[in-house]
Amino acid sequence: MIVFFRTLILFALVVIVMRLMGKRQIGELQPFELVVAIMISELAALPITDTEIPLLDGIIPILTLLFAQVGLAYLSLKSNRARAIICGRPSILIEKGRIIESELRRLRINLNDLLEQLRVKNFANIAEIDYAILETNGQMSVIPKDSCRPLITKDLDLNPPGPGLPLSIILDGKVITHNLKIFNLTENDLLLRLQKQGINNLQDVFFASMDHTNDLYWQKKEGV
Amino acid sequence: MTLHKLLVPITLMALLLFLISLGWGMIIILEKSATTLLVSTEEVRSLVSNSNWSEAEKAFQKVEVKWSHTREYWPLLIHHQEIDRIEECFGKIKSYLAHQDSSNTLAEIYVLISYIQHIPENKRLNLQNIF
Repeated sequence: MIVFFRTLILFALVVIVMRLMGKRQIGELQPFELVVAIMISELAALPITDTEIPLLDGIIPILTLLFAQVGLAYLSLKSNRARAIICGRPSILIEKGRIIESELRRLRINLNDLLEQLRVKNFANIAEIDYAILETNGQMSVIPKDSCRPLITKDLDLNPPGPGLPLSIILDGKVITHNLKIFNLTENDLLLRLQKQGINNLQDVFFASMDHTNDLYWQKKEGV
Repeated sequence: MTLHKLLVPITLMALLLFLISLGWGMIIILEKSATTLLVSTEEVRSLVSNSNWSEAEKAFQKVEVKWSHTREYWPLLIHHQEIDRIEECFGKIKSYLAHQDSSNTLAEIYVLISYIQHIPENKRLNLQNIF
């Protein structure tokens, strides 16, 4: 029973701490963020499994890591020099189509690793690449040569309208009123539009979204 | 607007202050309660040394009362094994006192004193404890 409550308390604490650390913590991690994530998981697990350890011995270090992580992230946000020290700098592995051997050696990346990363980015031929940059979070950014980059509308002198941002307005039968307000619509307006398509109750809609041209996409709940 | 910009550093400073005061508070609480226990235990030790058994038993009962208060909040601050060791000591001393076994009582009182002294020493902020 003690373990049950300890687990709940520490779980809540770790969730709050991870939320406070920001979205990056669960996505692409900087080196210091990875260290913090590993340490927090270990620190939370110890007092859960060993009930002899006071809970504070788990809580204080977790809060200390939160302080250190948010502090370093704030410092790296405010100062370029601090960012370079804390997160490192991006490394150019291919520059103007030429592989930088010294940089590969320094980062201990072999050619196979480089080619693999490029293939992951959909570049099977190294000759197509102008720049390859290893970012500070370990991801590789690839910039293809002009002749190999995908065609864009600008190349064809076309000026299509922007796609806008489609917003969800019904999720599992529940109307998202704040999104509906963005389109200057009321629930009644929405119901009227859906009634024309054979829907008499908004709760019967599983999902509905609307784009900037007020085009409505919807799907009825199964079995209704 | 300015306050919004300063929200992160202010919160960080508040968190830092909270953590430092929590740590410092823990040390102070442990030092105070350990000193109270040690003074009373020393009294028992001197009474046992003088073979004043009836007074020693009374003095030990007072130590037990103080310990029962201390025992309520020490589990929040220190490893529970340390508390178990002290409890074990208390049991032994009580039994030795009842049998007026001076050598064993004194030996166990010294063990108890070292256990109690060890607790705040272990939490004190110094280089030995950090490394």
